[in-house]
Amino acid sequence: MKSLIKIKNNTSKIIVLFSSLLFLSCNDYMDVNTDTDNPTTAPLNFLLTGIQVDLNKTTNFLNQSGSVLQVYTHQMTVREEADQYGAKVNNTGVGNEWQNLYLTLTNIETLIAQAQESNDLVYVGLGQIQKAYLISVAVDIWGDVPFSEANQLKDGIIAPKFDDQKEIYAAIFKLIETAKNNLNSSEGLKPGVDDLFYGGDIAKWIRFSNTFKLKLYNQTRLTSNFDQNGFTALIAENNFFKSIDDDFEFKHTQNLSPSDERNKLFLESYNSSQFTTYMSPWFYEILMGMNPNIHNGNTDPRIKYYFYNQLKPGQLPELGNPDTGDPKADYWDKTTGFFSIRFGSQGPWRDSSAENSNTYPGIFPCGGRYDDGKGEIMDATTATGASPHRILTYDEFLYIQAELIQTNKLTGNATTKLQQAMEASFAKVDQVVAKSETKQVGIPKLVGSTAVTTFINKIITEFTNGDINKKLEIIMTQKWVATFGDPCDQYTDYRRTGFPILANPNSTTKEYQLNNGDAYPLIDSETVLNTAYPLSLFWPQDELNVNKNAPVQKTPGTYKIFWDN
Amino acid sequence: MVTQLSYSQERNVAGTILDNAGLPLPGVSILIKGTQSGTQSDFDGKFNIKATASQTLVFSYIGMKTQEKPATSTTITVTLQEDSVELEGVVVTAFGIKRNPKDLGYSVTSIKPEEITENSEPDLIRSLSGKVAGVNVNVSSGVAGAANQITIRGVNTFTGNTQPLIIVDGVTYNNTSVTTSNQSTGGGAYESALSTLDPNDIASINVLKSAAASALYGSRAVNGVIVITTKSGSAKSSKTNKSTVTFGSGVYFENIANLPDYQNKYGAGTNFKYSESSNGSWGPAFGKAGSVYNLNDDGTIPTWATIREILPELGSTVPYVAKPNNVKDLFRTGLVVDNTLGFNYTGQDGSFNTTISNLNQDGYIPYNTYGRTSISMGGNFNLSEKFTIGANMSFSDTKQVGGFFGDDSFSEEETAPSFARTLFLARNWDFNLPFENPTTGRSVTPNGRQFDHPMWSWKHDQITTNTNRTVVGVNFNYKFNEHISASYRLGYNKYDLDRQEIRDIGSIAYGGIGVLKTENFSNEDIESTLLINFNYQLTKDIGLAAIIGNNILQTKTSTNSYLGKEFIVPDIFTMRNVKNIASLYDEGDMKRNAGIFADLTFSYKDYLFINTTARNDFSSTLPVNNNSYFYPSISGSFILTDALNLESDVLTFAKLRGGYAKVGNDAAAEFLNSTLKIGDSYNGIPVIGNNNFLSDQNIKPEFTQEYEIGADLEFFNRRIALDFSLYKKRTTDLITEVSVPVSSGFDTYKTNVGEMKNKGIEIGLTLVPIKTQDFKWTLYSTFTKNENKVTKIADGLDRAAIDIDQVGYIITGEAFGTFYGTKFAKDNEGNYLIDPSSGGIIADVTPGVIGDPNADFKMSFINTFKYKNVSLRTQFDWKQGGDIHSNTIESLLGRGVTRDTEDRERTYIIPGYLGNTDGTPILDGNGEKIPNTTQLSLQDLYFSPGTNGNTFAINSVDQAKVYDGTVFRLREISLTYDFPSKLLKKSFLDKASLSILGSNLWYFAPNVPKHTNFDPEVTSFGSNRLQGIEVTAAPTAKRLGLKLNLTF
Repeated sequence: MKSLIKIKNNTSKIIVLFSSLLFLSCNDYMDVNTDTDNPTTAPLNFLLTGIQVDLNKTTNFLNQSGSVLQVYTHQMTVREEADQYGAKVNNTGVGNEWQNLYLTLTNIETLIAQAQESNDLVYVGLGQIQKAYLISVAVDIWGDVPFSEANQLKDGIIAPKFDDQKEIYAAIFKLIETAKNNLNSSEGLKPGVDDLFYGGDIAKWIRFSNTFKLKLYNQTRLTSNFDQNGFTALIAENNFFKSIDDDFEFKHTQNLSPSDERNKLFLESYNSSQFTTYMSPWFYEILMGMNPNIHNGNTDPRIKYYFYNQLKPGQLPELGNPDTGDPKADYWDKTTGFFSIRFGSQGPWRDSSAENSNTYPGIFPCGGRYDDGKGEIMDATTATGASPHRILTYDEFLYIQAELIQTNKLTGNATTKLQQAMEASFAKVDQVVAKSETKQVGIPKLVGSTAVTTFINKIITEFTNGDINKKLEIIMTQKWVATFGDPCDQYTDYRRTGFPILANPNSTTKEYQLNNGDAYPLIDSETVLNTAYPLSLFWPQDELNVNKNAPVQKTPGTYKIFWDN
Repeated sequence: MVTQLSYSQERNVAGTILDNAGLPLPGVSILIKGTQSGTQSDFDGKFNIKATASQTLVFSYIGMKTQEKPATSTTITVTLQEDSVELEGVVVTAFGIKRNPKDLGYSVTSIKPEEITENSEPDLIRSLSGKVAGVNVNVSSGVAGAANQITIRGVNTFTGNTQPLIIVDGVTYNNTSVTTSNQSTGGGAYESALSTLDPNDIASINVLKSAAASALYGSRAVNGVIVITTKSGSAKSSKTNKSTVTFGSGVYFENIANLPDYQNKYGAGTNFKYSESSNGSWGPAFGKAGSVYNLNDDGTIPTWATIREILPELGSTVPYVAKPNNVKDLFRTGLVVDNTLGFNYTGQDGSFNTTISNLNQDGYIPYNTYGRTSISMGGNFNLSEKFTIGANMSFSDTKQVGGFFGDDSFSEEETAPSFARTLFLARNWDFNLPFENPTTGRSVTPNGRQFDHPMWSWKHDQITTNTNRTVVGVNFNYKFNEHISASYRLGYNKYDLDRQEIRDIGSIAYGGIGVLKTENFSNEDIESTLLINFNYQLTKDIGLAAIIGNNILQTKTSTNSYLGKEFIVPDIFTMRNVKNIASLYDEGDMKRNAGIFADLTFSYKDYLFINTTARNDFSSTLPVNNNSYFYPSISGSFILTDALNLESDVLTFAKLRGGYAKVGNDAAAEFLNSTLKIGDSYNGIPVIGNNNFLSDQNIKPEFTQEYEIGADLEFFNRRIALDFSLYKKRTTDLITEVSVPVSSGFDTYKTNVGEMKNKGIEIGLTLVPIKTQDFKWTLYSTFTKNENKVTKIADGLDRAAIDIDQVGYIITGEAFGTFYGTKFAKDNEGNYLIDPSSGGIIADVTPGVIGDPNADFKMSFINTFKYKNVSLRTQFDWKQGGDIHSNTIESLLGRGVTRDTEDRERTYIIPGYLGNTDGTPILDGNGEKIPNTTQLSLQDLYFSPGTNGNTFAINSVDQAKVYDGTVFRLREISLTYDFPSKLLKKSFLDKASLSILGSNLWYFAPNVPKHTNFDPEVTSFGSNRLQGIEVTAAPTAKRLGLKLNLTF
């Protein structure tokens, strides 16, 4: 008993001791969990710049989907899975596309919510129009995607359902109008240098909104429930891109720090350790006027702005055998030095690396080199990479109009429109060169040159002589040529119209016309194709793996986007 | 009178000394108590000594309990009992509370310091492998200093730390592994913070495996606890004044443990045609010639352009021949030198200990080094009978230099792993040629600029990590009376890491502009513990021991990292010498946790013990209304042999035990914060955006509950001793971050989700099959089996990736870390579906579970043979199952470099039926499936043909890289000679021993492709949660060397 009493006595002392410690452990002492290193709210302008930097990644190169899409549109070729229309369910570029798109939408939602709170309606409009653009890209490449339940984790939705693509498009059309109203309201703060696209010029944003909407109407022109009234109203409003100055494009710089701000295709091509950006021989032959079916005999004057040949004309590729003259090349044009690999090639030299012989993308698509014929070895230090990522441009708008006229959705003269569009395309190349900060001297101006006039005249003659189908093919082919380096709309255009005609390794006619006149001719049977054309992209496996409301994976060869008739 | 006289008279006392097996024991020291006179027993265990009848004889022998006997009789037979530390000693449990293991209702395992120092392994965690049942060690690569993962009774959390809490001298010992660059795409084999601890200073290691054992630690102990006491932190006073000096020195040679058996018949190329740029050895057979093989007519090949540029004297052609040792010659024989000097004093007034150690390791990979210097000291002083004060401090400094690892198939610009081709060089590549271009300084390899020469990479692209740790501790003990005492301990433990990652000018990473990445990390723990102990014998039979206490822990971390691009002048690796600097992160946080607890033990007649604990935690990281939480434990033990008074020679000891515990856990610091992130400004314009994660603001504490039962049984006086435990654990409301569909707006959600279960069995069995006078054979075996199952993730989520780039997943109904990925398509009868155009297997449109990295069980067998002064100790480990996902095997097969792919002049048909890409079989006109008849070359069999055809290595489905990781291993072997004391008597030495030590000398993995010789123990992610995944990592090392131990 004695001992128990002793415990009691001591216990009371101890309780006093502990209660003091308990007091210590109360809330003040425990209040050390606040992050003092990061902001909890953001000024709208900093949010906007961030959104635009991320939006620029959409369908771009360097770990985004552009590298896959450009193969599907036959402007580049690769040895990787995208060759022969492959691209696995877990393709990194396509996965990153999805990831970037939805994370950017989260920032857009934050921008819209904060701006609505502070009644800065212009910023609300900027958020909405960019949201509309991103979602339209998602539908165009995947079809059904999360939309109505997307970006709502804060409200408890972990696994958003996939919405019907047609319904999403209808919502996009509405969203563009709402965005325009907000942009026009002039309510609240005004953007300035934080707006990397238009430097705060709201009139340009309105013109972009309308032009973008026209693009979507054009894409849906063959669908059964085409919104004729909306289309008519838009045409009546008649406030589209006015000139090259209205181009919706992301301006890249030469800055390397804090992050590398050079053109993404430039980084993927000139700054990579392994060459992955082969220029498509099919595209090359069309530009060279070698293709028997289109623009035959009409060499495109832009070719030196489009491709840089590391080989001088006549120079044997690095693996070539000077004794026998065997170029050991999958595709090599002796007359120009163009060196690449063919789509679907199984040729013996397709997998041989010839880093110093490959043809690089030139100054126009990525801020690379203008081909002055000197045949230098290219790397990241040989050019600036300061070329814009063109997203929706004035010349593209003119091609869209030409297509609408040609398909009787719009009144006007298709020939004139095509001519204007091509002139604008050439002006665009000149503009990109002028702004590229290149140290290369003596790059000639295209606009006004005889070569350009001759080229355009020949195309117009070809157009005038062509039947309805040929006419559409020429419009789409020229649009495809002009938009080199921005493959997303090309991919959509091809699926909608079937133009331009792409290389078909299985065709019975001669696929490539190149003939070096040596003992090593191209062998047609070396190119093969075993996969159906992907009518949409696989949904990224990462999403399906964790989203229990996601549909089962699709077959890209059969899953159509609703506007694809 | 006469009798009394005779009593005081010395006379001869003779006797025999036996051990408990009845065998004579020679060399036993016999001392007359209180005098200096004594003798030793002879070879037959016999002795003679002069003693009076009133004197007492003291019999002592190493490893036996000292016995005293009055010399009343002139003939004495003494049976000495073994001093079985395991049962009679003391174990250290939570907060340094010492307990008699017999009282414990749970399993605690002690590891003797020799077990971790008597091997040639510089890493403590690796040394623990196989030593304790229930403790699982996953080692990583053979890079010197690389971190390894240790888990106790399975993984209990989805994210955060899965490793046990490590307590050194009563203070939390932070064991983070700081990852500066992504280890999937090009990071280092980073070290873990525990590597700052000097194994030479360790006095004891106690592993608290169960929740009941560790419940008092609360939040932090959910993964078990390793309680380490250092010599300097535990110096104890003794009655006799004694000082000793110890010196140990080890020198070990280190080599790569395994190289594949390379084929030396075929060189670079494809389809039997030579190609200079090919990485695969699918070219023509050596000895062929002519253009049909794309060889010159004299059988030569053009000299590699890059090499000819620097060595024009090679001429325009070189022979096309095998270079059988091109891989082997890249590596070197490494060296480990480990020296330690210790001084110890113990006396009545106090004690003092100091240990100074230095370790230097040159890995088998050139330029890979690891070094550690540490100094520690501590002591205590008895101020009075009641008051003792003690203090300790230590400082250690480590430096690791190593290369970059990872997968070069990612196209990120920073990718340039040093093992990109190292183990699969084309068989005709000459890698003994100069590897640096004297003009450009760049790497020179035969096929251009696809990868950097490994030697170039190791020399120029280096990661240097310097760490240091400072530990300071002070403790007070006051004894109020025989029943009540109090102790207080305050400790400070600071870890600083300073890392530089260099991508030198000319590296293929970052386009060769030269990049420097730095990281500074620091972690500071301050821990205070107050214990008040009560000890009462309530009745004759019932005893009560009670402890109440308080524990406060404050952890502060800070980290910052910078990326500098483009070196201005070469060979200067400072931020000052770069053109552009970006701040990657710059953050710090603080966490506080306070707990009050009580521990109550009742004992009944020394054979029944009941222990209960309770703790309440207050945590700074949980929302205010959820930040206080309580959890209890109860356990008991019952000593059957004592209770029933069983005096059997067969069952000499039996104890049954059982327990239940609940342990709470809080969140990581700033887990709740959902801030915005300042991004890299664009063209000078600032950028802010959301983080990719969102945090739930209403999380509650996470709890783990565990039930455990077990028994300790001994037969035939410990000739057989069995210790086994069964446990079942369930963790609910895990505070974790999970990958969510990014369409939700975020890719990670930090919340309370899920439930995970672990159950397992642990067995430790000691056998002494032979024991004679001179020879003793002891076999200690452990068996560890843990079954983990994720029972729930979050609502709406059945699967979450641990790292989106890797196959490790958390999947409901599967074990943690299960591999999930793309797999081969099969029809409903399990036949492969074959792509008609390529002859390869179609990929299943729906991915699935393709492996489980968790081993079915692990066993180890530690044999000790002791013959007189020589002892031989071997540790043999067996890991059954546990899948691996290996990039190295994929490349070895896909590049055709091992003898597995040597027999290649024939074709193969993959058995199966033709299928469509959507995974359905193609049917003929009769609706029948069509058997595959497409012939494949061996190259196609390991390098997938076509876009839709998947085969068994490169460019195939994830499943093609998965292999069973069963492995048998001779982990350690040591042969030790103890110099006989007779020999040392004349010298200044007290003890001396010399050992030959070897580690990882042999292993056998039956289920990996035979000639790859791949070691399934190699993984890439160190102590990360991703296990079983190998991304072109460095093979393990083997070591052999000598160690000398001297005591003065």
